[in-house]
Amino acid sequence: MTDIIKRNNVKIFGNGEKVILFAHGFGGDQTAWRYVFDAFTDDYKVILFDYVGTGNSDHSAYKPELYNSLRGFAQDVLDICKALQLNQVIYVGHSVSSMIGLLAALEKPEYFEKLVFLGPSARYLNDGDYIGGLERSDLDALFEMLDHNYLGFSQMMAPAIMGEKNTIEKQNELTDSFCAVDPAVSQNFARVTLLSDHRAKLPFLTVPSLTLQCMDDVMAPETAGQYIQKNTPGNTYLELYTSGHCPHLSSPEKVIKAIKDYIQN
Amino acid sequence: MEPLHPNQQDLLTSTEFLYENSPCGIVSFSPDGNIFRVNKTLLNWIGLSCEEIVGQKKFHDILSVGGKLYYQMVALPLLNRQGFINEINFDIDLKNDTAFPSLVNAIIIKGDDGKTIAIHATVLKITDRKKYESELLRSKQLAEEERKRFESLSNIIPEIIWTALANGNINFMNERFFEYFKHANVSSKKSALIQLFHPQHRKEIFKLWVEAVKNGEKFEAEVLLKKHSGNFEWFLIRAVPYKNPNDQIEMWFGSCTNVHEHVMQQKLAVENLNNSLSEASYIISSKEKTLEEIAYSQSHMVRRPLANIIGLVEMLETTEETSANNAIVAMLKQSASELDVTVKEIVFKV
Repeated sequence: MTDIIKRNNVKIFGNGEKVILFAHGFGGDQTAWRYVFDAFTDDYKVILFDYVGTGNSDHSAYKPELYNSLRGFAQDVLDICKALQLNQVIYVGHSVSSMIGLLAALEKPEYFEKLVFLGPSARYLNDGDYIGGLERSDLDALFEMLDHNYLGFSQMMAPAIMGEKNTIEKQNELTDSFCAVDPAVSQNFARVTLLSDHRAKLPFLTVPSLTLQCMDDVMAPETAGQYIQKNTPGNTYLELYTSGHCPHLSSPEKVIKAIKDYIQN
Repeated sequence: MEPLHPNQQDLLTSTEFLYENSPCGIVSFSPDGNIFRVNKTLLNWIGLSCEEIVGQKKFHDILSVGGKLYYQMVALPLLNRQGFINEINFDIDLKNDTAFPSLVNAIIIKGDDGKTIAIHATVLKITDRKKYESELLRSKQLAEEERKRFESLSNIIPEIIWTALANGNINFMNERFFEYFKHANVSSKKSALIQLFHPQHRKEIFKLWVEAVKNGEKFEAEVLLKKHSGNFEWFLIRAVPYKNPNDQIEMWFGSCTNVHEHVMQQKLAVENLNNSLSEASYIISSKEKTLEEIAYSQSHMVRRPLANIIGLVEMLETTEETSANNAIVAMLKQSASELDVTVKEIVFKV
C-alpha cells in the first residue's frame, strides 16, 4: 500500500466518512485543486494525488508502454482505490481526468458512487458532425508551442507542496530541481490526451455523473460537453458561467458550489 | 545639447507617458482573460485600436491557435500556482493573418482576500531573436539527425563500433557490441566494460588508453575479452581521435575486431618455425660431428701414402742406379694412386 501512496504522492485531508477523490488534468498536479479542496475537508475525507510522471510522483515508475493510453492513468486511480480500500467514492476529474474516471468506473463501478467531469471531452478533435473543437493543425501548433517552451512545461510539472507557504526562492529551487523532467514524457502525455477518442465508451457507464461545462473553453467547447450528456446514461449537464479551461483556478467558488449541490442532493 | 524644457521633461517622465510609450507591450486583464487596459506600443504592434481590444477581446484571443491552447493548458495553471510566468514564447496574431513572436512575462495581482483580481503582462517582440533561435533549433535537430544516422549506419555494419568522449569515456557502442557481449549484462559504464577484459590485461590496457587520450594519439591493442562461453578470445581494439577545425579532439572513433583465429594461427606458425629451427640445428650439429670424425679418421690414411711418396722421392734423389730408380718410380706411382683413391673416398664421404 505504501508503494502506491508514495508512487502517486497520495495526500489525505479532512475527517469526514465519505471520500472525495480529486484527479488533476493535463500538465498539472494535485496543487491545481489548491483553491477547491479545503472547502470539502469539514464534511469529507479528501484525497489528492499526482499521476505517475507528474508532480511529486515517483517518476521512475513512468513506463511509456504503460502510459501510452488513458487506460494507464485509469489504473493509477484504481490502484489508489484498492490500496486505500475505497468504495463508493465521489470522483472529481478535471479535463482529461474526466475520461480517466470514466475508464476506471467502467472497469470497477463498485469503487464509485458519483463522477464529476470538470471540462470534459470524449474527443478533442473534430470528426464529421462531431465538434470536439480542435483541428489536427491546431494540435500541431500546440505541440510546436510545447517544443518552444519545454522549460515552461517542466516548470508546470514541478512539485509544489500543498498547505505550505512557499517563498518564491523555495519555488525556484523546486522548479530548478525539476527541470530535468524529460520533455518527451510531457509530450507523450499531451499526445495521449489530445488524440484520444472515448465516445464509444460513454453509453456503458453505470455510475451517475455530472458534466460541468465552462463557456469559452478552447479545450472543451460546449458541443463536447453536450455530446457527453446526450450519450452517457445518468449524466447531468450544468453550465458553470465562467470561462476558460481551468475554472477550479479562475472561479473556484463556482466549482465548489456546483460540486456540493450535485453530491449533497 | 539643449537641456529639455521643464514641461517636456515632466511629460517624458510622467507615468502615463512611460506606460503608453514603454519599449515593451503592456496588457492587463481579469482572471477570465477580459482585457481592460493595453498600452500604445502593443496596440501599434498588433495593428488594432484601443476600442477594438478593451472590453472586446480576451488575452488568449490575441494569441495564435497553439498559444491559445498552451495558455489554457499550461500557462494559466502555472500562473495561478506560482503567481508569475516568465519568458513564455507566444505568437501574437495580427489582423492580416500574420503573427509576430513574443516573450511574455506576467504576474498575478491579488486582492485583500487573496483572490486574483487581475493579471499584468509584458510583451516583448522578438522577431529577429526568434529567427536566430529557429536557426539554433534547426541546427540542433540536424545534429540529432546526424547522430541517429551515424548510429543506424554503425548498427548495419558487421563490425563492433564504439565512440568515446574527448575525455575517454565511452559514450556509444553499436548493436553488434551488445549482441556479442550480451551475456555480461554490459553497459557503457566503465566498471562493466573493465570486467570484459582478462584480469591480467586490465591495468595495462587501461593505462595505455589513458595515455592515448592524454596524448591524443591513435590507440591500438590486442586484448583478451571474455565471450559468452566464458572463454577469453583475442580482439584488436583500435581508436582514432576525431579533431575539430581548431585541432581539438572532439571524440574518439573506435573499433573492436575479433582476431582470435588469426592470432592463434600466428602463434601456431611461430611454434612450427621454432620446431623446424631446432630440428635444423640438430642436423647441422650432427653433420659437424661427422666431419670431425672424417677429418680425424682420414688424416692418417692420407698421411700414409703421402709419407711413402715423400720417402720414395728422397730415395730418388740419393740413388743413381737406373734399375733402382725404375722400381722407386713404380712404387711412387702406386703410392700416388693409393693417395688418389683415399682422397676420392673422403670426398665421397663428405
